[in-house]
Amino acid sequence: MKSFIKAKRSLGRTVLKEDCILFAELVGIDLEGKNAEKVDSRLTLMIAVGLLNRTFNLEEDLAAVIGQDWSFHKQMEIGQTLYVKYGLFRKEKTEKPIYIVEVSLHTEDGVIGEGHWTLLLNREIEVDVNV
Amino acid sequence: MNITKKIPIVESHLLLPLMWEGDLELHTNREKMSKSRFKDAILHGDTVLSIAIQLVLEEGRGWVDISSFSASYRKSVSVGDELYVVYHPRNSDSHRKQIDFEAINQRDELILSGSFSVTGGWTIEKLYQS
Repeated sequence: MKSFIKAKRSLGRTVLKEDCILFAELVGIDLEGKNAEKVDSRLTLMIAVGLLNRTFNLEEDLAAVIGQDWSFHKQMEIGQTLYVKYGLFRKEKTEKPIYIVEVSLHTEDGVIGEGHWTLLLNREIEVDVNV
Repeated sequence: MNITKKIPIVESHLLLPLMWEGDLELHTNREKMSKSRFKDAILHGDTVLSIAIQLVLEEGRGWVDISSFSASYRKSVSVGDELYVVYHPRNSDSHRKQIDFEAINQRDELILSGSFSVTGGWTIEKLYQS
């Protein structure tokens, strides 16, 4: 497992106003009249995935991201810091090494959302690890 | 069938998300990717999902808070591709609206299928006439 998991828990990432401006440019959001303190949940997801990308050894082991499913209890606010907690599980009854990362999203205010990320890896790894 | 406008995928779609998601050599190492099954550097799936949702949101108007979304990925997207979305409403009430959608490329190939739900005042008048 150590060869797949690089860090025991995710790092944190503080969301800045410029993150939101650049995300708006990326997807084409007109920010005029929008609540400037709220962070789009799609940007929250991107940052969360970035934290996971730095937690796992995906450079060598990822074959494909198959899917994902996320729900949010509330939006992050600019200036808050995101980190993730996760559990890694082998998908049952599949020949290919498909793994599900169950994720909860946290800020200093507590849990703001949760979801899962389904990955096809290049090899089998140890499972049922919660960090 | 409800169809969004079509947009071209450009280098900023590839590069901007790297600051949030990282690279993994899938997104900027064109030499490596040209030898892979993808044949080219590919966008992050989250970028494609975010653009697809935005194309649907632009069909309507009003304040929106995206409270959930999901995606199942079928094909990758690279710079130079074009993207449009076919969408249809699922359940909805005055507070929460759910949309199912498929993102399609310029060759009419399915890129991803997904759904999202929103709260707020956002609406598409042709879908949600009361």
